[in-house]
Amino acid sequence: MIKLNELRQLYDHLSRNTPRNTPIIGLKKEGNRYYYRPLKSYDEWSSDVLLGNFSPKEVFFPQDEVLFYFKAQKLIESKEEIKPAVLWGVRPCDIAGIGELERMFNQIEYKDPYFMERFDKTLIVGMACTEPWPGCFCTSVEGSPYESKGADIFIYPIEDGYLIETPSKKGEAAIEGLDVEEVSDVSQLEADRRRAEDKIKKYNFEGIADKLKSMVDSNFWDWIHNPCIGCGTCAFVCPSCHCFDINDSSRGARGLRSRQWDSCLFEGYTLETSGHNPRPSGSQRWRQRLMHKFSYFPQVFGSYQCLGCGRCGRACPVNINIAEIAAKAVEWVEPQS
Amino acid sequence: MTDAIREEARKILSDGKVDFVIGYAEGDTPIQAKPVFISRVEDVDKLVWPSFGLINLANYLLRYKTRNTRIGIVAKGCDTRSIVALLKENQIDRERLFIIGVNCPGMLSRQVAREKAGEIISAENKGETWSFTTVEGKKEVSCFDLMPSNCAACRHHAPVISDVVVGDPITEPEGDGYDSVREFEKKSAPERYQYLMSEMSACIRCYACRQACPTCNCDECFVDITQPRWVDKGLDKTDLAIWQLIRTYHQAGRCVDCGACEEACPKGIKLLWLTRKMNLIVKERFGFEAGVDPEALPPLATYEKDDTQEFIL
Repeated sequence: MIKLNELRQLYDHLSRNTPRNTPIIGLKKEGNRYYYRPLKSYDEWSSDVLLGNFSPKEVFFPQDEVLFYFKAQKLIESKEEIKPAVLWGVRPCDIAGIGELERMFNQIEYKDPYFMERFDKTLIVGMACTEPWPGCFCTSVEGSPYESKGADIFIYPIEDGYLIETPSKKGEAAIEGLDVEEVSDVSQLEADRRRAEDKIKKYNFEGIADKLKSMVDSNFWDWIHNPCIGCGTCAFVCPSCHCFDINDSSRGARGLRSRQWDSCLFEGYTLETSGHNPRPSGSQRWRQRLMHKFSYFPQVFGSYQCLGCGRCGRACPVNINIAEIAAKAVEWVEPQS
Repeated sequence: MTDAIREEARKILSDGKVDFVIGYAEGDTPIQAKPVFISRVEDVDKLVWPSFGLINLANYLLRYKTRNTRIGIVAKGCDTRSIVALLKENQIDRERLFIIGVNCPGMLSRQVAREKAGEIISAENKGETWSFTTVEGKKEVSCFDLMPSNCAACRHHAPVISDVVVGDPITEPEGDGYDSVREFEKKSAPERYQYLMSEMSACIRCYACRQACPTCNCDECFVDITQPRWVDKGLDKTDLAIWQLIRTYHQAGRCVDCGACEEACPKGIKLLWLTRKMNLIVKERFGFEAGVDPEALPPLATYEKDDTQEFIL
């Protein structure tokens, strides 16, 4: 690990030592919300903000993406060139979210070339959260505000500067030439980690994957979804929701095929061509949302598909908190009747 | 107010008049209220009269259109207007409703709070002001400054229909509440176009506005129809503007200006400019305000010989 007095040193080093015009994407205020956007300079970075209102998934998986164009019988692949990028100052939950997307889009049988090219070409610079927000619950889903896994470079703010770790070879290469001394004693990080973790509300999700499996026909779903109005806000702000819809749009013989984010809470999400909808009610759609994140995904991939960033609860127009619902599911006892 | 609402809810639940009561509870995150469905008397104390309760609860009634459920509902002035509008469109049965009408002094908006204070981490009510801890530091904002544009323009604080009313009657402010629209109209056409296009182009098609709206109750929304496809699915600016414009048209004579759409928007888009302008047109041309008179027929359901025939918006 190395120590820096100012983070600007690292930023400047990265902007000098990456190919020309490599965007450094970090949190930036636009209107009265924070987004991950290319930064013009270090000073444009909203360094005090923990999480953007939207997650950094759009850097790898844009909301609206052209797959190819067509003209009569001819296909023309989307020609947008994907350039290297630096994702600056993302938090452990979002890095874990990017990891979940990568598992999804990089399977042995199916690889998503659009996502993977962006993923491979992006250098992820993570940052520990010294002051988590109310609504954060990463420690309940196997995360930590000090988890550097998945990052190429990871920043730990300390009292008199920053410690920099390089968990990947890519990160190591990126900081090469940064003229600073190595630090060998990093024992204080353990105490910092515990201090930050203690500030985070802890939910009990023990055994949730199996519990949910047994709750397919439960009455639980009948009331849990009640306040939900069925919009796509939670899925759109979520760092790991990855469902998309594919659409063609054409004028005469010309057109394009594109994909857009979708949400399992939309009524039309499962609507079939015949008109049949296998999930016609809000309760079934909410069951799917919770099951996918806390049961199916853990069973298939071995980890939750919820990273505990708490964005969905903050953005939800009716304040539905997925952590509360998951914790209630764990405690749920089916009424006898 | 909270006590009075709980009292009424307790009464109708224990008398067996309703199967459940829809109201507001405290939210889990700062300055948010959470709609709640109370079916047991012992849960009645979860109900509160919130400061930030712009979500229109009448929206939930649509779910029970075809079910034989008796519903109690806590309804602000605008919510009762929505109920009237839904009754007129035969979406719900009056007999199955018990309306706890509230003389609503106006709500506060988390969108406005974000505009005035920044990204809010925690909030504390100090009577006439709210104290916010934001990423940019501490900020105090008065309740008056946190009021959304629709509550400031509201002239129907009292419930239009109800089975019981709680809260003290409120003197309606002077004027018709459309001054902000008239002010906006003074801007040049290019200015208005530019402003509205920049607002609409921020849309991400999450449809929170539509889902939060009791009047957006088509079985299939035009934007979801694929045969034929009226609007493409992506983020093309024209498509985004068309989506909002058509949504507005479909609200003609039906929008009650409750502000739920704007409050629900995760991008903070100013949606009410369009609907309020349309409401003004409907008021001036047809002397009609949605949901105000339980007897009057909505303009789209009737006609007069001397109706103006020119283009509407």
